[in-house]
Amino acid sequence: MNHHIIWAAFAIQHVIFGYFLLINTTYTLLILLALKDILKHSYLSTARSTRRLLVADSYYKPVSVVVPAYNEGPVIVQSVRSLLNLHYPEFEILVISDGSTDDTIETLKKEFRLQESKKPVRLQVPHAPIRAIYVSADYENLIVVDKENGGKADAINAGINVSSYPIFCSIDADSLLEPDALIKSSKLFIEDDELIATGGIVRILNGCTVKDGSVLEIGMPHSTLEAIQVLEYTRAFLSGRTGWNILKSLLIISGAFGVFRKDMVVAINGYRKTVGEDMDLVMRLHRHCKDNKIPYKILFVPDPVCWTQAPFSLKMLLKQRNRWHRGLIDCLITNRKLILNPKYGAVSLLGTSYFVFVEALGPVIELMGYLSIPVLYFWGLLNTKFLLLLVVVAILWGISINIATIFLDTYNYRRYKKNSDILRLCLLAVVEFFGYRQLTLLERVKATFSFRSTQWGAQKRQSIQADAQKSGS
Amino acid sequence: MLLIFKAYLSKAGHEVVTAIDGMAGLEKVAAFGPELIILDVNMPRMSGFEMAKQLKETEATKDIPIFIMTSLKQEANIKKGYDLGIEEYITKPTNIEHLKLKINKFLERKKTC
Amino acid sequence: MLDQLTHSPHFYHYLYLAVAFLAAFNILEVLFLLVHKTRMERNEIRKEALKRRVSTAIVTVTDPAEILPEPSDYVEYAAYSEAISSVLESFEGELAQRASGLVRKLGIDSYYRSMARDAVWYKRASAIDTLSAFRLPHNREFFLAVFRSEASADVRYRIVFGLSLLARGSEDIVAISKALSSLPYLTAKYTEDIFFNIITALKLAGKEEDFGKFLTAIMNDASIRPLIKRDCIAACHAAACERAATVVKRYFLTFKHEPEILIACVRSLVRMGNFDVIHEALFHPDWRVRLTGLKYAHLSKDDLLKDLKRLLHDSNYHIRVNAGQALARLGAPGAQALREAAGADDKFAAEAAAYALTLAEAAR
Repeated sequence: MNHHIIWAAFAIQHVIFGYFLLINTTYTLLILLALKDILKHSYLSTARSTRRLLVADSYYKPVSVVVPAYNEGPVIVQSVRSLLNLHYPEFEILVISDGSTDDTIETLKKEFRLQESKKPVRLQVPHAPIRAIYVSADYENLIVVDKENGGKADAINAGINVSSYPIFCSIDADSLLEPDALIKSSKLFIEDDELIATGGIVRILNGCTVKDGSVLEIGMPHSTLEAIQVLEYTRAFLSGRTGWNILKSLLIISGAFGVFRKDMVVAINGYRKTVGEDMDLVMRLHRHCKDNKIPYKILFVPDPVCWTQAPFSLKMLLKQRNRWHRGLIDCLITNRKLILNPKYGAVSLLGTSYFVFVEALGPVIELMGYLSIPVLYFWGLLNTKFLLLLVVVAILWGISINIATIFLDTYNYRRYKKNSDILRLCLLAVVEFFGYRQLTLLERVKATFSFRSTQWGAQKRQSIQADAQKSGS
Repeated sequence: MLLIFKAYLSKAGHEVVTAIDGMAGLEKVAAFGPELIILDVNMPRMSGFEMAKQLKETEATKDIPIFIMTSLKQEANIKKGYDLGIEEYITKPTNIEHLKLKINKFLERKKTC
Repeated sequence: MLDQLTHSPHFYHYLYLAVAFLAAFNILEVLFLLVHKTRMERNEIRKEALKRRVSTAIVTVTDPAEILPEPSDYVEYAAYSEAISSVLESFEGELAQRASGLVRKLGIDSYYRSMARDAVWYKRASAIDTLSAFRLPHNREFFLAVFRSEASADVRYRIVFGLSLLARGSEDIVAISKALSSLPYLTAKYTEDIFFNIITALKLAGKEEDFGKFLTAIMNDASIRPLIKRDCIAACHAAACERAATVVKRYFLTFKHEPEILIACVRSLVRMGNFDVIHEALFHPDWRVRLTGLKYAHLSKDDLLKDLKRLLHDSNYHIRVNAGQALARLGAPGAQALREAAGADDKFAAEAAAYALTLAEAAR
């Protein structure tokens, strides 16, 4: 028995060493690729070319903005107003109330003078029954759909059926789009006929000053918990997504802001009822196009920016991470055809492998690593010097990756301007490894063993204004 | 571009106030009460037509004449413009000397009416 | 295996070195980050200040080159090029002349010409973009020369775009289409933009009819893809090339089996005030052509009431809904037809008619 435990502990050591090398090498590689790409962007997307877009009256395709909402009473009016301010020549907003039990529909009816519409709906993708469709008397491009509860994926499907335009943009009810985010992402569909899906950067709203539904001043949130998430998001989007984009294996487009071609999404029967519906959609799009030999592109561009609220309490954060991890595992299991399958190329061998071995199994491996320490120590087999040095190297390497990410962010036009913010981010790059990482790790391990649960876990909603004030803007 | 308008028209003896987008424009109109408003169709945060619509619907501002600038002669735009009651329609690129003369003439006519 | 590693004599040396290296690297990284950020922000401020100065100079002085300094680095050149292209975009006449004069007198042209020969493709692409924005006729030969020697397709697309802005007449159109056909088809919008630029440039040179001649010449040219012909017609629509109206109508009558071309023709002709082809479009087997006809049905001089009523029962969802809306635009007889259809047996037609009636009510 002892022999087996010792052997297991040694085996785990090797696995952890290999895992540590793998994850840091991957991130370093992604960052180098991202750096090259961002340099290119800074040359090509000048202020003039953006202006040229807005000036050319027909350089766009009409877009349907789909907003699934469940009990979003406090924030929904401000969200809609901010969407109505989008700088875009032709678009419609579809707010889908997914069987809300609060006053979401009533508030919208009052605020926007909704009237019932009899437009026949084309049932292209499945969803729970629609109770009624309303159009605003003040804004003819604002449509509200009241339907029975079915989940976020279900609600977006309803939006797809009611929408009129060939492109749709799926956002969260609490996302705050930059006014030019839509034109910056939809222009890509004009520039490339093969493009079927794209997403932009999602940044954290906490700590920013918001007025009339637009972000006036960008600032870091006061609390450490929220500030570390800023670092996480920057790393995930700027180096992660950009890097995968270059490797042509982008597997996820954030549910907070994604723009898709409707015909392709309809072809794969819309969104599937799952917790991680955004990643699932993209994976199935990859499969569908590769299976049917359709030339396609799924891109990420760092240009368009969307702001979202980050959870401000530990409990909410852990719930969110738990949900993300369960969604991830569910997606990987359903789309297991993509795992280590040469037929799907880079998407499978690079992208999916990363998500399986680093993101999905990673927490378990890392936890085993932590657990193996006392075990080895107990059996006097612990090489303390090696362990300490290894940990120091791992942390220093990780810090350098974090700082490189902060560097990438200086090229973005909606970035943190104050030097104090930058320094704080650098400090957080260190702090992340001492506590935050372990907490999310434990939650993700918990999620790995309970992924069969499909609960969304209601997030507490506060109006965006109040939250910004709370964070001391 | 705003800078050029301001410099050129100021030299011609007019007092010029500029705003970078639709919402700031509405605020400036409320603050300064101008005799003439020149709008670009393409503006961030609120398009030229939106702003014109708002101006025409507010009692205090509905009589201020509006010129609208656009880059292409889009049929839909022209019709939308005249429906809203917009005085004059200017296409880019424009000859600023001619524009200045137009403005001068227009304001003169208004004074004599 | 790990044991072997850990027991090798130099292993710990390497590890210590790694730790020291990483620690130093991190500190340097942070410093570099701050320095770079400050430098970028300072550059931005400098650029904006110079832009303002250039714009003011163009307005106030007849020869702005006399009072403006020669640009010395990438940031200053960018400031000049942005200010100048902004002026050229919005103004013509005296101001535009002053702005283009600046380009030559301060050597901005030659700077970007040499950047167009840079080793890195996106720098070349950016240089070509900037040069195109100046719209200087004397760059035409330069563009053609660079096109011949350019390897990267991304840059070549931009060169063709730059050439299209400088078109003077028939020879230029032929040269540009030759260059275009040597490249793979990029997107509809790009091709349409190229021809839009050509038409606009021709209008300025007073040679608008040359485009009509070009269209006639390629109509029966089988080597040119139908998509490109469609993009040419779409460009006629966007640029309101009225002199080409007769040719476009001939395209409509010739290409009966190319729905893309037919749709572009209908739109184009409607924009030019010619509504003759709408009626025929309603009968086409491809639903998108019928749809385009429906969108303009209310403008046609023919009596379309019977045909619109029939289209309410079409098998395609979009046709039914739009037929309803077209009837709603026909006033009283249309509303009457809708009321009849709303009670019909065909459920889909009834739905479309009912919806169209609600829209008609709301409009009144």
